[in-house]
Amino acid sequence: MIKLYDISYKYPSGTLALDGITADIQPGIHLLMGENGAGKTTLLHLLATLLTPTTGVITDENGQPMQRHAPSVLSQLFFLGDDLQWPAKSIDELVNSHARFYPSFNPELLAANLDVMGIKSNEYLDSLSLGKRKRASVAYALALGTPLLLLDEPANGLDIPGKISLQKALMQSADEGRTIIVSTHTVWDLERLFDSVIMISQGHLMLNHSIGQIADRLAFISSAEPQPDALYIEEEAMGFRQIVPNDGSLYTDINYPALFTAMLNPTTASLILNQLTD
Amino acid sequence: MTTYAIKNPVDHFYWDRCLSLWYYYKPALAPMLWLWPLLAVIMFIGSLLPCLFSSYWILTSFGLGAAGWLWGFSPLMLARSHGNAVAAMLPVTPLERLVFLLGFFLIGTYVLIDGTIWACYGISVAIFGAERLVTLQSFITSSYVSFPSSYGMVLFSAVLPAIATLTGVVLARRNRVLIGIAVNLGVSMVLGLIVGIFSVVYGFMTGFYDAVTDNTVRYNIENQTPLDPEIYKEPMVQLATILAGALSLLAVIVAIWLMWRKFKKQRI
Repeated sequence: MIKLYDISYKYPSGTLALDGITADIQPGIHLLMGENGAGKTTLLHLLATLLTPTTGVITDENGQPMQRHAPSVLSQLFFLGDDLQWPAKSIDELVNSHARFYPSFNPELLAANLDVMGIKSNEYLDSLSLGKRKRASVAYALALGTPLLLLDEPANGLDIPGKISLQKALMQSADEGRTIIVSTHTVWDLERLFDSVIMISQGHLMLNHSIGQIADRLAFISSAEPQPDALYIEEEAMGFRQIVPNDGSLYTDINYPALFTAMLNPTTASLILNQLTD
Repeated sequence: MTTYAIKNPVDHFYWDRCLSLWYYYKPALAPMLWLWPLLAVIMFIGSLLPCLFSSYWILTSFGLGAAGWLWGFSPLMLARSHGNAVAAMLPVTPLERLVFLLGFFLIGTYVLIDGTIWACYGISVAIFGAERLVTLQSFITSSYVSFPSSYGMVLFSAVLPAIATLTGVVLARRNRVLIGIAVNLGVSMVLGLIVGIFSVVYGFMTGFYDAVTDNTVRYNIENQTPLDPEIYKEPMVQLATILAGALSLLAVIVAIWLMWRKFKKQRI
């Protein structure tokens, strides 16, 4: 389990990107969401030890602080951002030049991921479209097998088949004990896969709960009339989209946009958090 | 199945991992293994032909001088290695990265070029005979690519262009080739300017001092013979060489420190 203790980060320009984030991140696939400029990428960079927290400490599963530029730490994690530039022409070349630094690299998983993504390992990455290059990059990143994998907008630029492939690849790569954090705005592309939701807004942690806990305690419904006990109400075309307390008898799909919008409002956020922790 | 550098990564300097960086940079640097010797051969031939068929020694020195430029600009090939984010994430220590790059471009590339030139020289001797190539040998021995045989400080002057280029390429985030070239030329120009100014000032001051104190034994008041500049040349060259070496050493230290700092703080 990765633990964040009172993590704050201030850029050299003085901008406070994250403020006092304390969270436990269990193994599993986690959704990281937040508005633009919320601090999602900064958080990912901190988890990847590319930045040092201004205050606080991040510890790994052994309770040891994760140190920057320590090969023992870097070999256990990988961050795949928007930059899809690789130091090799093809996946084959990448395996020979880069994968050798990652003891957990799994060539069979790479082959399986590439097969799902419909990419050949000897194809030149520069000759691929943006979407295909993204698929190849994600397939390779998943196959590195690092216990911690950070994906920043992995579904960006993917078409519908690409998103379906991404889901399959994530499912077959998510081993027990592995932590995958996916930062994405297009939540619905991967919503079936997430084990928990981490939500930050304006540098603050708003939510860090498992999907099971959210589904147990909250119900996401649409109805013609607002419910009197609704924690959050949003008008939509055919009525009202609502978040209501759930005593465990209902099972509804989590409406991430509604949850996200609700958590941005301090009043509704407080009601939802109370419901989740009661 | 790929063989791995190390199964249980350690956090201290590890030669196995340092040398494994060759595999990481191989896509960018591997072409040097055949291209650089090929260029060195071409440059050698460009030096050999004037030596054999003319007495225009400047052409001979030009070819060998070009080999020196080849060494100095070798780090530009590093700009072919893309993936700043991936590089920042690579599980190696900053020192391993620094040692590898310095070792490759200062020693490895040098051996590649110099070894090729000497091999070509050996072949040429076998074909044309050593007597015809005496001048060529002296040019090779005293050229930029040959291991400096006088004044250890000259070593730093010799390696500075390659280190300057490497520093420019490492520190730049964009336009790495242009910045590498600019740093190389800029450092060379600044160094040349400082040494040149020193030489002029030194020459003037020494000559003036000698003239005032009448220390110049060849100056004859009655015959009005002029001062002989040759008596100042050797000490001035020696001092200029030492100055150039000292400044180069300082520049090398600064360059290595800048690269070390970049690797320590490397971010996406």
